[in-house]
Amino acid sequence: MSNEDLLRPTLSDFTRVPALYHSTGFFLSAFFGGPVGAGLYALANTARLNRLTTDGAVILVIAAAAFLSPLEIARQGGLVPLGELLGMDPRRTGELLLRVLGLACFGAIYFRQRRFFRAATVAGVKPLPGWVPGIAAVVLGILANRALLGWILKHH
Amino acid sequence: MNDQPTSASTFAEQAFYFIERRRLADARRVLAQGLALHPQDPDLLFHSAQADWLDDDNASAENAVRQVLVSAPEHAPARQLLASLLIERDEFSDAELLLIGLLRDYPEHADLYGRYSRLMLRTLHLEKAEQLAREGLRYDPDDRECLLAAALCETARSGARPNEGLAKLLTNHPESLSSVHALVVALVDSGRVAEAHHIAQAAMRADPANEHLVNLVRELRIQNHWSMKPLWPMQKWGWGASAGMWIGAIVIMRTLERAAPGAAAPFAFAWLGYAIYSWVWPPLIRRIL
Repeated sequence: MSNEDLLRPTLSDFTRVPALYHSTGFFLSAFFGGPVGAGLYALANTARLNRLTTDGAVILVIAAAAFLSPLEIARQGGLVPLGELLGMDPRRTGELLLRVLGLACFGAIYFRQRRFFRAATVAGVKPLPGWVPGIAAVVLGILANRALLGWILKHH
Repeated sequence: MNDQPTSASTFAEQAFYFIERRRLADARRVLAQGLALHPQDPDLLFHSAQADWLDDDNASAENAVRQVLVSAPEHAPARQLLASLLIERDEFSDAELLLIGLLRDYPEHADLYGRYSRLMLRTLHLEKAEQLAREGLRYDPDDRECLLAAALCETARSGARPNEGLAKLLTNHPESLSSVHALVVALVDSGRVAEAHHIAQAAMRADPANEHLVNLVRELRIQNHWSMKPLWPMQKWGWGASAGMWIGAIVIMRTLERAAPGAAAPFAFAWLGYAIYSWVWPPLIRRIL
């Protein structure tokens, strides 16, 4: 970046200043909403960072891969043995798997965006309240998890 | 020092002397005398704004600084102060335009690059913040603002890893409050809360009137309280620790249910208690202490 580029304004009155929703909401969305919850909350965060074009596709791929993993595990006939190993029926096994995958998604996305979370801490930026994206992510995540597990149990 | 000054510049010099030593009441007295004789003097108005700003009276400070800029629109310190006031009011784009204007007028002034870098960090434009700090350090490798901005950027990017920017800031400006701030931020970020608390306490003893330091020590005291010790994994590794511990707890619970069913329920209750404690206690202790 040349000196002239450095002195080109980055902020404007017409675009929102980048900010992050509360990380507690992100964690809880992943915990209760699984990969879909984690993905939706992360997309809301990425939109507030004005980075949808750079990070949006990566987040979608991570969340989609995690969300569809139980389907692939069931296709390979792994859900019942996994349930036997854990001492649970296939539905509970699927729910647990989606919860763990949600937390894994949270970890992966947080790791990718950790410099922004750290920059916010270092610069003393107050996080935005994450109630709206959080509740939306949890509700949609739970619905998506139920739909996926219902489909898996019906077809496998 | 002349005890009964008459010229505006002498009043301004005296006011600056008092402001530098945080003797704001004396500064205000001198400024009131000076402004009674020279009501439109830009330097006196600027120092008046500075005193208001240091006294956290931002509305009066902005009023005074805008008066300066009416009579002396090129007054660089007033423009810098207005930028700081706008940043505190979250009017970032106006502050940015002011800083860019200053940098166009003083393109080799490293301090301005440091200020602009910190504005970019505040608005989470990390790459530009780093580039601005680097650019400023090209003009003055010892500039405190740029070294602080570089150290904070490095903390944001690298976390607990060795921080070259911070080392340089501490070597070149060991006495500065900025160095304390950057060091404390880096230590807290790497989970070394006790050390951060000791350093902030020592700094507060040297400058007990500094409200920022008082708040910092209070926050660190809370984080370093014995009742917060069980939460150290979260303090050190943040949400990553929380996610890891939940996955670990789920695996342990399932294993116990099969291997030692009698221990599974106590473990589940203990874990649930710990999780509730980690959510409820930190906000509670902030109200109590």
